Amino acid sequence: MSRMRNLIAAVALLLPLGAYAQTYPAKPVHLVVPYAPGGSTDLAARVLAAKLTDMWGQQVVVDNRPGGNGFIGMVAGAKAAPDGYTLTLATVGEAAISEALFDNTPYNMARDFVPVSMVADADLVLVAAKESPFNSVQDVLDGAKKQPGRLSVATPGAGTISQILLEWMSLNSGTKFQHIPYKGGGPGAAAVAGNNVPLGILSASGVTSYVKSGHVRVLAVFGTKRSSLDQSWPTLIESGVKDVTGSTWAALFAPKGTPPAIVEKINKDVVTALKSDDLIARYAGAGSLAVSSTPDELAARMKRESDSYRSIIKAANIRSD
Amino acid sequence: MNIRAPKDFWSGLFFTAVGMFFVAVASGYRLGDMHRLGPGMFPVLVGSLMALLGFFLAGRSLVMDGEPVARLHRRSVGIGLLSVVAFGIALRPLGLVPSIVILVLVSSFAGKDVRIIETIVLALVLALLSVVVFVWVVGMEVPLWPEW
Amino acid sequence: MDTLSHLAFGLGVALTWQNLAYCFAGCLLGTMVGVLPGVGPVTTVAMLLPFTFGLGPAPALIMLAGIYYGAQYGGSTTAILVNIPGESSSVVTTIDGYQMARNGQAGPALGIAAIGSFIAGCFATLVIAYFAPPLAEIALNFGPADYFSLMILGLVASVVLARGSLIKAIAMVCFGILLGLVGTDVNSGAIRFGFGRPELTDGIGFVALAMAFFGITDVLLNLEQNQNQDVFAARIGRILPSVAEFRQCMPTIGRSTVLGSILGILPGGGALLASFAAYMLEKKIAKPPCSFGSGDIRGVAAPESANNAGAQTSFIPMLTLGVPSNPTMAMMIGALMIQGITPGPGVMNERPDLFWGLIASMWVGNLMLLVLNLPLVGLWIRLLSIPYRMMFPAIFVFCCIGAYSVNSEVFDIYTVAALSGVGYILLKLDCEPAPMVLGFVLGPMLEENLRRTMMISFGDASVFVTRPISAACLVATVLVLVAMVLPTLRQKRDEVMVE
Repeated sequence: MSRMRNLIAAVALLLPLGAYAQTYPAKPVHLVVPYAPGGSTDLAARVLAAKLTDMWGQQVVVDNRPGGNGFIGMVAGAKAAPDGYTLTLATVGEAAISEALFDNTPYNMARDFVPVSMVADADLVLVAAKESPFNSVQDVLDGAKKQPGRLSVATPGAGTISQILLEWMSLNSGTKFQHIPYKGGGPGAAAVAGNNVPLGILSASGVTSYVKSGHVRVLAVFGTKRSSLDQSWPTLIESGVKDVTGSTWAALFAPKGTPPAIVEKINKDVVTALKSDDLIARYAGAGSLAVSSTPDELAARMKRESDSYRSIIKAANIRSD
Repeated sequence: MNIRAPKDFWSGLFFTAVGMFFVAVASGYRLGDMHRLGPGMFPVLVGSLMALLGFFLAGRSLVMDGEPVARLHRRSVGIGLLSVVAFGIALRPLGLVPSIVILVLVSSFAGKDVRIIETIVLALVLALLSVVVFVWVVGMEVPLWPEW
Repeated sequence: MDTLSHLAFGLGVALTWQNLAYCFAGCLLGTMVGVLPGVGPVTTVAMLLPFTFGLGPAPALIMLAGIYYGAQYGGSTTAILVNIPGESSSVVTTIDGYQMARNGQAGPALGIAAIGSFIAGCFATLVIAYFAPPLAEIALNFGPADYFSLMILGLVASVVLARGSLIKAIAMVCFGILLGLVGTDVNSGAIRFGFGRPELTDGIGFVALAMAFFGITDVLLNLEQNQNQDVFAARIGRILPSVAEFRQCMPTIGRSTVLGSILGILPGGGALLASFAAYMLEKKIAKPPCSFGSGDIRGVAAPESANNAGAQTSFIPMLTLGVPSNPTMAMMIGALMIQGITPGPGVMNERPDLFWGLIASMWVGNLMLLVLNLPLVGLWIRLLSIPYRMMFPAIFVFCCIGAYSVNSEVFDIYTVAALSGVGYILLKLDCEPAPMVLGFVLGPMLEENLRRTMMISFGDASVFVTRPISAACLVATVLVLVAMVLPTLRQKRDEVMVE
């Protein structure tokens, strides 16, 4: 099987370069995911890979390269040959936070990658345990003002978008919270559901089962508009905390130097895939929205978010010590 | 002063050294306070406990009798470890099949009874088996042959 | 509807031809994966995930679950035959299982592992059927202080595993904890003991550690001890355990199953703690003559029953809370979510076919595994008749590829070489690896929960004794310590008297 693939690949390499974009993909495409199998980013990648495999008639292989805050996968993606056969699915963490958070990030989004398309977007919510006295964002802010720094908030980890949103919320409301990082969203959600921690900033999909069972209450969603999961949840901005928005998203990148024609071809097919009904349904099942974009739109969003996160990281003095 | 329990003495020395090494490195990290333990605190505590236990073991070995350390078979151990390292060095440039042949050939010298032809056959059989099981069935990411 | 009629309904789902076929495929694949080092159930489930898109949720979950508990079965095979634990929960099985194989009793060891696992699996399935919702609530209320104290109890008690000195065993636990801390710190995101190597940011892999400290170290010791003769004394003995052995093991299997079912519910290291705890309990309460550590059949029955029971009950937090207790469970949650099902408290009522179908299929799957594995025992032990001079290079190949296959990282092979050297020297000094492995796996969780507890309580350590579960674990820890230290002291006094 794999000998066969090598043979096809060798033949493809002999083809003149002009015909390259038309014949792409002529061999299996690797999709690097800087996370271990099983998480939400990995799932998004696998669903997309399966769809592209169908469309292209070529295997799209998910290549999990977890570790080192995503550095290992990102470096692998950055160093790959810029021929369109190695793509990288990065999240908001790798694409818009890491470079501001860590002193020496071994990759640089602007220098090493070209944007291809947005892929998935998922809402983040502020939740409170059933036993806690908090019924609204205002309750939480009042509570935090009464005893600054003594209200604990669970997040899926240190340096995640959840922590940044927590600090942003503190800055813009003049309060202070205690940040309790967990090892992923599942344990974080369980901690709030079991009332070990009264509050949490977690992905909406990770808490919906506890919302249904009554273990936790959703107080607000960190979006510019209300969540498609439940229209009754107010946004944080509606609740009186200025400007604070953010979500956890994933987007597709190619190594810098990939021929524009190939980037364009991949973008076109990925956008088609992301607009197919079955993919939208699978993403919705996993609690995220299938979102596509042009490369330029992705670049603009990345720039906007990384600038504002950088200033929050500086203002709140978030360090990775 | 006599070492009366060599096994305890040397293991004590090992634990003390490793414990102190971890304490030394970890004390470079933030220690924090009771409320917010830093990344250095826990390793310093565990490393200190380990070093203390090692110190006690080594100290006790000077007054209490114990077993001597059995002879170390440097040759077979050295060849065994060498074969593993050789496999690691060979894997990326040469590919899986030649690396397995190297690993099997080198490691067979760790035993006393070396039969060259039998070993070569064994190497080829194991290489074939590994390619089928790990690469074809399981889909492990590895080159099979040298890239040219 | 009561539970029995629910189960009957579930059997109806599980016994359709389609679901039986997927259950069988899962069990078979799982067994294979369990035998191969490095290739764990996580990788397998990840690879099969796109394939499940086309199936309904029930057959998909039935197959993936089969892979998961099938791997638990398969992992014990290499542990017994060649001293290589494929999964952390089969580490304990190496202690007596491998000794039995060397005494020519590989057949009974493999047999009792399969039978014990089957009985445990059946019991645990009933536990899930009857008690899933209340048990899930208990797991949810387990706070960080409780986890910390439970792990302290596990670590302190683990020194019973080692044959030699208490002090060495505790020092080895510390060594394991320190090795486990290498990598990124959960609380601060800082990288510790990484020495600038990017490969170390995720820590030392369990597979590399197990290959080094068990597989390769054992070969190195065998090579020097048996330069000319072969390692396995009487090669092919009986295939199945005798009736007497079976009766000897029954109480052990019973106790271990209960213990495993309880510990399996806890997210994080449940099945692992279960196998250690069951072994320790049996070793403590066994009446002489017992030969734990040198090939006692109860030493195989205990951890194997417990880890299989734990593997089954670890579905409870997954199905009823949506909390994965290990990476494989996380994959299964992913598989369900892609099908549009969010595991959680509602799943039992919203999707009874899925919930009860899965439970019934576990029972069917355990029966399949028994039928599949007992005939295989004869085949496996025939492997032992290969001369050792051909066997040990094969073990080297197995270990190296296994360590590499986890992350496709050459660095892991060098890690194996370095740790094998350390492991060899430590074994020469009578320091045994089993307590170290427990420290390695539990150490990071111990620290995480300690720091979380202190943060939530604002530096007030009294929570460890004011929370009932935590306090109970700490009291038990003290009792275990006293029980271990007292005989040693008495023995010392006797020695002094003799002198």
